Amino acid sequence: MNKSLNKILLIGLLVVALCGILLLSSCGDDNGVIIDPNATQNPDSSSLKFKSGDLEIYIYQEIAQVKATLGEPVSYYESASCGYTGMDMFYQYKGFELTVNTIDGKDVVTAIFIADDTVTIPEGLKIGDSEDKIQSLLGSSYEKDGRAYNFKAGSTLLQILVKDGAVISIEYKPAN
Amino acid sequence: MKKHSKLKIILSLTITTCLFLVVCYLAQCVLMPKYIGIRKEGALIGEYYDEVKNHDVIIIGDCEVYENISPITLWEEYGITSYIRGSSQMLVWHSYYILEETLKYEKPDVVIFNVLAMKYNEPQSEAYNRMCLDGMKMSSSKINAIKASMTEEENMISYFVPLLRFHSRWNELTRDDFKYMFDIPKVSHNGYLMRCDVKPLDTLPNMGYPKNDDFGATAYEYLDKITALCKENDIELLLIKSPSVFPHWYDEWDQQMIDYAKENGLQYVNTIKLQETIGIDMKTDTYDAGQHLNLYGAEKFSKWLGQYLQDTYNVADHSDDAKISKIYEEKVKAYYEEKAQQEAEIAEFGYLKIYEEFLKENKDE
Repeated sequence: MNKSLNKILLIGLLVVALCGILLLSSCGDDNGVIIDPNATQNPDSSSLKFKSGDLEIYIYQEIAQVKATLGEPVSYYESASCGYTGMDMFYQYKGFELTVNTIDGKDVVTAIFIADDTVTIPEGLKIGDSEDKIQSLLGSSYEKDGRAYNFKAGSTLLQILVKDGAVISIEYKPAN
Repeated sequence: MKKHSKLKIILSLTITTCLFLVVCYLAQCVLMPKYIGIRKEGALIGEYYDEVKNHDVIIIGDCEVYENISPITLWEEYGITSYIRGSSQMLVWHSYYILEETLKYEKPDVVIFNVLAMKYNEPQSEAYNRMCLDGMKMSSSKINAIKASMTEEENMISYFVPLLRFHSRWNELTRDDFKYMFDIPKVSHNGYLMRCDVKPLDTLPNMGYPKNDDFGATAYEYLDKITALCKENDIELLLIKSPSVFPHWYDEWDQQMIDYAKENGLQYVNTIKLQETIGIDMKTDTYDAGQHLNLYGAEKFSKWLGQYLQDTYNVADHSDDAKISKIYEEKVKAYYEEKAQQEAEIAEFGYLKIYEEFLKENKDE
């Protein structure tokens, strides 16, 4: 009878051990509480790119490339998110602003914001243009969301905001 | 004999099950993040339960409350008892359920809610959910908060059995995970996280425009619930926009809160517009160029806030209450000890080492 009891206990312990192994091995692709939303992203090869002079600027481009051509920004701002995960870096150049984040150890462009009407995007649109010009210059392949016209190509979203019939904001962002 | 064998089997299985549960419990205690290093925010919600529940003012919201308001200053200057139930990126539904839970423990005279969270209409991130919800004691409020907060990738069972979520931390464990597996030292002062360092504001990023003028329906739904909950419990609700200047607080949003407060008979104060009155100087009173106030800014803001609370709501001054004074004696001592320790570190190194190391880690990743 003692032997039976020992057998049962041994089987029980083996079951505990097996459950432990299964628990530890399942869903093993994260490292705890902080899930970094910035998965590996490749520089975007879509048609939606901004241009400053001869330099094309696009989502996930390394900021080092931009700085190599344009030089240091007019001003720079750094902001930590509400708690922890890395920094948002803002590079202000004349007429536009780049948001930069560190992804896979590289500082890359994650947003391009057109700051004023001194800058025209490659398709010919600028801040202050009438709303009609959006379709005539960029076509009709957009999704409308509130007052936002969202054009997507590759992993880039070009978002144009309108108010009272005029363009008030132009911004390139990641599409996801 | 047969009966005897059956009993032995039942006993063995019971022992095995208990053993399994004990092992799982101990594993969970070790593997759960402790939030005592860089990510102290995760410890804030849980610290409330050990408090004596006698607060006249409860403050709910995100980092713009737990970094910008000093309950110790409210006590020292005005004898006001207060607690900040805040968490990183605390969304409106988080705030509602945290308030609902708090009211099961105590009934304050005033609840203060920071309205920045109104800009979010959907769940944002598991990480922020975890920092708020894992610290809550199990209750109907927690269950409903989880349901309202979960992102698509999350599942509810991992909130009931956090081991299912954090088991993969096994290769990141440090000595602190074992040292603090049953008890975590306090990181806050009545919910306030102290920073004594200074990073002046120079230039802010462009303000741009919000995608939509209006806050979302879900955000309003939960703001309505907060309003109703306070009314049902005869509690004054004060809506504020904390004096942080980044992220941007648009005029369109400000107007919505002005309108909401008027429609619901509430006070709403945008303290960004009162920086000069409050005496905040973004060259000296912020540790991150205007996103959050440091201790010096928080104390200035709290001095203004305390006066506002007494002028507007006649919040009581308990400084003559011997019992409450005794409780706050320890709190004040701990507050100034941490202030001295941080200031000494900044004097020696020029920065707070733990945050500087974190910045270096994130830059190198």
